[in-house]
Amino acid sequence: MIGSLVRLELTILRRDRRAWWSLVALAVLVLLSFAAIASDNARTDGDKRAVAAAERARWVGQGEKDPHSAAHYSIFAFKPSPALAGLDPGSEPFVGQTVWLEAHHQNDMLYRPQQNASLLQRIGFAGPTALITGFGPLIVFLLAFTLVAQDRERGTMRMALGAAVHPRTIVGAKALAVWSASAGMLVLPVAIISLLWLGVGGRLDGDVLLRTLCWIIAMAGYLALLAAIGIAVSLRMGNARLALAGLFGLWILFALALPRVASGMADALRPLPSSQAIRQQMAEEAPAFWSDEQNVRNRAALLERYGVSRVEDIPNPRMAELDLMERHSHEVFDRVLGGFYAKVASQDRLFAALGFLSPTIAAQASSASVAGSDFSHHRHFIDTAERYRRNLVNAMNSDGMAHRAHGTERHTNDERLWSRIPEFAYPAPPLGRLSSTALPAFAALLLWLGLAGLVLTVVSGRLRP
Amino acid sequence: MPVLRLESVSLAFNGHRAVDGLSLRLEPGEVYALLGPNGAGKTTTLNMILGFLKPDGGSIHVDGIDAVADPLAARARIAYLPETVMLHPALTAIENLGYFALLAGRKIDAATARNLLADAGLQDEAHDRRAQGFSKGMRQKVGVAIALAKEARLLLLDEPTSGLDASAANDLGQVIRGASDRGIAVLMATHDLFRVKDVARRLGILHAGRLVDERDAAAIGPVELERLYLERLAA
Repeated sequence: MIGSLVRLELTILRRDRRAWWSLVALAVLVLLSFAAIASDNARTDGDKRAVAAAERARWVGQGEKDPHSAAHYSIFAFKPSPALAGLDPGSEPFVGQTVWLEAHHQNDMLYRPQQNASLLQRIGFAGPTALITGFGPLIVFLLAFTLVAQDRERGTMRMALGAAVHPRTIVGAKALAVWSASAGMLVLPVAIISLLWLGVGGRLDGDVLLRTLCWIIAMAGYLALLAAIGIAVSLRMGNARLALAGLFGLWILFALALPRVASGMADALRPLPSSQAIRQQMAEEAPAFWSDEQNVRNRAALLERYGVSRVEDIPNPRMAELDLMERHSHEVFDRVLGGFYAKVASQDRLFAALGFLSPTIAAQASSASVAGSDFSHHRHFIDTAERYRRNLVNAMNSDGMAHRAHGTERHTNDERLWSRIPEFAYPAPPLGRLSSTALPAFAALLLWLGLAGLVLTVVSGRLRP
Repeated sequence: MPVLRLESVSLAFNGHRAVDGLSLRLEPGEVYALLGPNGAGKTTTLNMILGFLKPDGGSIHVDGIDAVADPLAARARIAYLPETVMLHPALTAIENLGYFALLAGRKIDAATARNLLADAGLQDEAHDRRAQGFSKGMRQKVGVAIALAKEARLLLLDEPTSGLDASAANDLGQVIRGASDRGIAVLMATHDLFRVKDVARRLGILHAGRLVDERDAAAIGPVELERLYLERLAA
């Protein structure tokens, strides 16, 4: 019976032009937004691959030179767009897409898409998730209002309650209709198109399927709890006008006000140092600022490592010193930059946990996490690129240290060494590895869903004509 | 077994007795008109029979089922037409009938729906039209079709003739008589003395929640009924 009731409720929704065309309009926007972002990402990824290939050719063909100079000549590493960035670009428009890997420096990532975008393109960064989480509540509330508040105002609800079914069946059918219409129009089509797009692009694998499934669950769960809230409010308010005002207020609260409040709270409770302060701190700890005492200690450490008593007995003292400075910088980068990134991640986790304030926050945080476009995934790229840089520089320095060179002597190498360095490849992490942000967000979403379901059950149980 | 049996039913709101010791009994096919002015307790009585309101005292049985203890089971045997039968304006007459029949636990096909709507007197060309343009009389006919689809044992009508023109009221009378012929007991709450007299078999006058008089409709003329009604209300 419930299936037939839901079908009839869907017919009522489809024939209500205001509600249905609003839903259709948002669904079209979601698809257009996906198409714009996915095609832009595909074009950019193609450019990145082409430039990365040219970079590799430049690296291998740099000619004969001192390996440490080669480490400075070095190479760019490019970040491919996350597979599900078309569904949720997350922080992607605001973080760099490439990094210059060179000796002694862990450089900032460059070329943030947002910096290079026109005003119109910046509007386009609102991906499917942003549209669904931001405007979804408005549309779902309008659908709930159409099926419930207008039904009550008209007296049809009283007729229905005069039948021999429990009010929960009637309300349940309405909730299912609102949910299936919104999820069926806003979530499923774009998820299916995304899978087809990724399949055509050869990026479809088990992890992408799992991430897409989780994204569908997060968005469909979000719309389900909104449907329950929308119907409960429509049932409880004295009349349709009050219900509409209440639902509009809830939309502003959930989707506009509370996310900004939560963002402000996360900033205030977990403040971040400025990037300038971080750069300053790293510069102050750079070898250029080493004291004479530090230089003496370093020299003693080198002599000990080689088991000799004179610098002249070290095969390549210049290279050994550069290697020591490089390894020292690793510790500084790990401590200073690592600490900064840990603070950003902590702020992200706090924001996700504030999903207990508003389901919109929970939905946004869980979506970016499963789409692989949150900061934890970006950090994974930064760490991968940095590991590659360290391996490359260490390999260059090791080759130099293995060959004797004193005074003005210079050991050189050529393509045989450069080509032994593997090409930079970035495998995105599987979903299970980066779930620290997703877990509180999903927990908040689940709590909201349970709470909304409970409220709807209680309200429908108390329903009187 | 009576289709409807009310025994000393009472209900008070904020100390005011809306219904006071009301007893009624309707046999299958019987048409009973509960007359009274606004505030007499007619709609409150219907709401108690439907289980929307719980009486303070007394008992209500519908087709042998305790309507107070098990309102859902009782409601399965009742068809209820409020003063204005409100249909989903976006649905056609057939779809509305299907929707409300489903809520009554009956799934009906289109052919059955057409037959029921025809039995209720709705013209064929209105079957596939959306209900948003339906007159009150047309909506009532769909409401009666819903009652027929539900195979209800008891039909409750709240002010059924209010706002109907003479032709529509005549149609309604025929529909009620048709329902009665099928063995459905009909309880009408109304303050329209004259139109219901032709349809009802028995008339009860409700005043301040009490049943102050009860007559056979056939045994009383319209003028006498009006005089009796006014006397009872003045008492």
